[in-house]
Order: sequence, then C-alpha cells, then structure tokens
Amino acid sequence: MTNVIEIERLRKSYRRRGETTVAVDGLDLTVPEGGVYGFLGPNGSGKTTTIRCVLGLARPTKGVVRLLGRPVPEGLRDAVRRTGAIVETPALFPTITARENLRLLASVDRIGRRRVDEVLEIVGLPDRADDLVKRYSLGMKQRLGLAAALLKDPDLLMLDEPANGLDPAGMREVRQLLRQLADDGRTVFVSSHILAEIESTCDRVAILAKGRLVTHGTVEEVISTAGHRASVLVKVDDLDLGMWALRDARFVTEQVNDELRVDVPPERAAEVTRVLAAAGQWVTELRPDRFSLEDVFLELTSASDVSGAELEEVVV
Amino acid sequence: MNLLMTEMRRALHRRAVQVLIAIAVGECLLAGVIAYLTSAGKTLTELRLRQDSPAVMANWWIADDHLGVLSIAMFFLFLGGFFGGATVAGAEWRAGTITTVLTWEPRRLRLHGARLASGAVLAFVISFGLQVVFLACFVPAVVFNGTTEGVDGSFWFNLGVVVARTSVITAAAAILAMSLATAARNTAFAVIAMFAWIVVIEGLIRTLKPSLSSWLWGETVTTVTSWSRLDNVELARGPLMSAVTLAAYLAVIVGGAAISFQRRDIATGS
Repeated sequence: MTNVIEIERLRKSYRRRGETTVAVDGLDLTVPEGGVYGFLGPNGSGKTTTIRCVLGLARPTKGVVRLLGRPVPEGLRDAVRRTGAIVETPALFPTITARENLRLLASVDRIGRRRVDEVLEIVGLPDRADDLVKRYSLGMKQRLGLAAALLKDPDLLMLDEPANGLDPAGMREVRQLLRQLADDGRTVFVSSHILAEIESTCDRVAILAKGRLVTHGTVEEVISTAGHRASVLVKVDDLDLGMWALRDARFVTEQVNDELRVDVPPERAAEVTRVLAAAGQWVTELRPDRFSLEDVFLELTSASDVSGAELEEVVV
Repeated sequence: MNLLMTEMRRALHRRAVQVLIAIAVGECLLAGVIAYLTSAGKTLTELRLRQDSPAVMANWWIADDHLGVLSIAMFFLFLGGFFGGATVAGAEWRAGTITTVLTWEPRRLRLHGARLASGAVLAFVISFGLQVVFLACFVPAVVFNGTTEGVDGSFWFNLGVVVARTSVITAAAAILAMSLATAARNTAFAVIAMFAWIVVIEGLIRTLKPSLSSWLWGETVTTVTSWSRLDNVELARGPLMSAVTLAAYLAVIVGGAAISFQRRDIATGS
C-alpha cells in the first residue's frame, strides 16, 4: 500500500512579538492510500497548520513533507493537480454565483463546464447554483467548498473541518458523501473535532494534541488502546425493579439514561440475565460497555495536558 | 496564458473594478454634456481663445504644449488604475480566496506574475478604452458647436501616442498598487502608503530639498506623461531617463512584493 501523505519530524513555530509559539512539534504521520482518514485534535492542536504545511501554504520550520509521493514544496504542482482541498472556511468570491465561482476555478486547470454541473449535483446545490455566494449559509458554503475540492476529480481530498456550520442532516449527507468518495477509491483526509462524525465515517484516525501525535491507527485499534470497561449495559422494562434485583444479587449497578450499567465483565453477562429473569425482568438489550472514540480522545488529549481554553488556534 | 486569462476574469469579477469603470464612463458622459452645453451658442473665435475647450478638436492634445483636454483624464486614470489594482489584490487577502487559488496553482511566483500581468493588461485596455470614450463624448460638441480645424495626420498620431503612454502609466499604477497590497496583504495599506508618500513625504522633500525633486514620483510621472522635460524643476531630467527611473522604482517594489509573496506563510484572513 502506498502512502498519500508522509510527514517526518514536522515542526512549525511562529515568532510573534518576540515570543515563539510552537504549533506543530515533531509530528510523524503517514496516511495510506484509500479510505477515510480522520485527523483529530482539540482547537489549537496544530491540525490546520499541518494541513497548511502539506499543501505548501505554510513553510515548515523543520521536517519533511511528501504529498502523493512528491516532496513539498518542490513537487507540489504535480501533487496538487490530484488533490482537492478545503482549508478552514471555503473562501470564494461572495459577489458572484456559485456556478461562476466554480467555473473560474475550473478554468485554472482547463476543466470543462460539464464537470462544474456534475459537482454541483454531487453536493446537492444544483438549484441554488445561480445564487450569489454571499447569500449562502455557512453550510451551503461548506458544500460549495466541497464541490470546488471535487472539481479536479482528485485522488486525495483534504478537508479541514468540512462539517462546520452544517445542520445534522447536512452532516449526515457529508458523512455519506465522504464514505462514498472513499469507496470509489479516493483517499479522504478529514480533520475534525466532531468525534461522532469521525467514528462513524473513518477507517483510520490520528489524534493530535499540542502539536504532537498522541495515537493513530484504525478506529478499533485506537479505541482498544484505552482498554475495555468491565461492565455491560442492560435494558429492561422496569429499570427500578431491575436495579433493585441486581443490587440485591450484589452487582454494582447504576442507571445510565434508559439503561443499567452493571459492573461485571461481558463474559459473565449470563449471570445478569439470570438474576433479572428471576425477578421477572426480561432483558430487551444487553451489550458490552465499550469506550467510544470520544472517551479515548478526551482521555488522551487531557493526558497531554491540553485544554481547549489554554490553546488558541494559531493563525499565521 | 491560461492562468493569465483566468486571473483577468477573476479581476473583472471584482465589484470594485466594475464600479470604477461605471463611474468613469458616467463621468465621461457628464463631461461630454458639459462640453456641449458650455460650447453651445459660442462663436469659433470665442472657443479658440480657450485652449481647454473640447469643442475645438485640436485642443484634445496640443503636442507643442504637451497639454490638452486629455490631461484632465490622466490624473483620474492613474488614480483609478492604482485604486483598482490595490482593490483586486487586497480583496483576495481579505476574502481568503488567495488560499483557494493556491490549492490550484501552488507555484507562487507564477501565480503572482500572472496576477500582475493580468492587472497590467486590464488596466492598459480599460485606460485606453476610457480615453477613447472620454474623447468620443466630445464629438457632439465638436460637430455641432466647434471645429476640426487643425486636425491632421500628425494630430492623430500624437493623440494616439499620448493615449497609449497614459495607458502604460495606468498599467504601471495598477502593478504598483497590486504589489503594495500583496506585500501588506490589504488594500488600505497600499492606498494610505501611496497617499502618504506622494502628498506628505514628496511634498516635504520638494520644499526642503528641491534638488531631489527630479527623483520624486510626481515629477517623474509628469515628465513621462507629457514626454517633455519639466521647466520648473531643479536638475530636471528628460522623459527617457524619467521613464527608466519609473521602471526602476517599479521593479524594486514589484520584486520586493514577489519575494514577500513567495516566502511568507499564507493564512485565511491574514
């Protein structure tokens, strides 16, 4: 498997008013070809700065970056031809229409008008394509930015917070679109701090904190690094009665939303069902209480002594 | 070539450029109406007495005096070229569209060169066109109230040369403004810096050190525009030397802006 992004010992620091701010600190990252790759981190962790360095928008202080096998910035022109990108909020001309904006961009690479219509269709904007961009909501601008990124029919999509400003339905559509693009053979590299979006979409993730890589791997691997909780979640009709029965049988039990969390290893789940059945409570659902990506993210990023309030996104 | 055409299309899509052109055309029409009304009912002798009457076609450009009706338009064209150039370049930074474009064309010097070239070509063409419109608006005053006496082949040649020269200087003004706005990453800096330099600093130099006047932008541009040595300036230089000086100033600023654009990091809204 080839790698679409290779980053070695990337460091990016800025000097402002005599003080040096380190945005990325010795980052090593390899993004394999294919699938959706989630790039996670709290605000100020260096996600956008890393993307900027990969796309040649910012010059690394140290380190080596390769995009689609080409060194950055020397081989950027060839790599960028095969890369569609959104960096932060998509920036397009506000006083002209979405269609005209895309046609202007398309003309840089001699891309035909038919492709413009195709991408507008893909992102669900064909009916609003002739509206001025300044009349677009943030969500519509995100879709338009996605359309711009798709114009080149790229092998690699680099999307920085693509779900920003989208309503739940819009987020779901973007998730499905990203998944579909990856299933079509593209690599989608997506940065986000919306973990539900990542967990349900990505094949692999990397978590960044304070400019450093904290962990990476498949979603399953990353979640497993946090280990397993020795508990199960149970649903019964009468939660109070169920909890009373379990506690009576000396199981440590607590109510979590509309379920009961029982402190018992999943392999002993049969004992739980037996106690509940004896009390006349038929189990409607029983599953191991696993860590979510969000749990892992919070644990790893807080372990790195990172707080969102302490760090501000570094603006070049 | 493709990038140049794209950049020209992008510049023409700027609302500020469209507004500037519309204002200029409106002013040309207004000037035409005023010229017609002020020349109506006057005899040719009365009109000839005034060298600034556009109803006498020979007044449009008097080669011997290096002056004419066209001189009125020149200052506004230079100003428009400068403001248009600053707006086109500065707005790209304010809106963050420069980031988007660089994800399509990452070779910064090539992009910067294409942008400057597109700005220069547009400024030249627009300036040339507006001068033609400006003079055409005086045709009714000439036809109905004035005269074409003294208009011959050499008049048209001289007029053509001065229109082209003015267009070249307008293009230079646009390039200068685009470079300043690119280096500072906003429109306001270019406009304020130029205003401060031309009005304040050059004004002070003229007063305190007149022997340096021939090196100033104001004198240099005036010499090139009129293509004649200035009488009232100490150590005044000829038009060719002034043109070379102007080109050298421009080269330094364009080069500085290009280096800045090439080396500095790009961020949305920076």
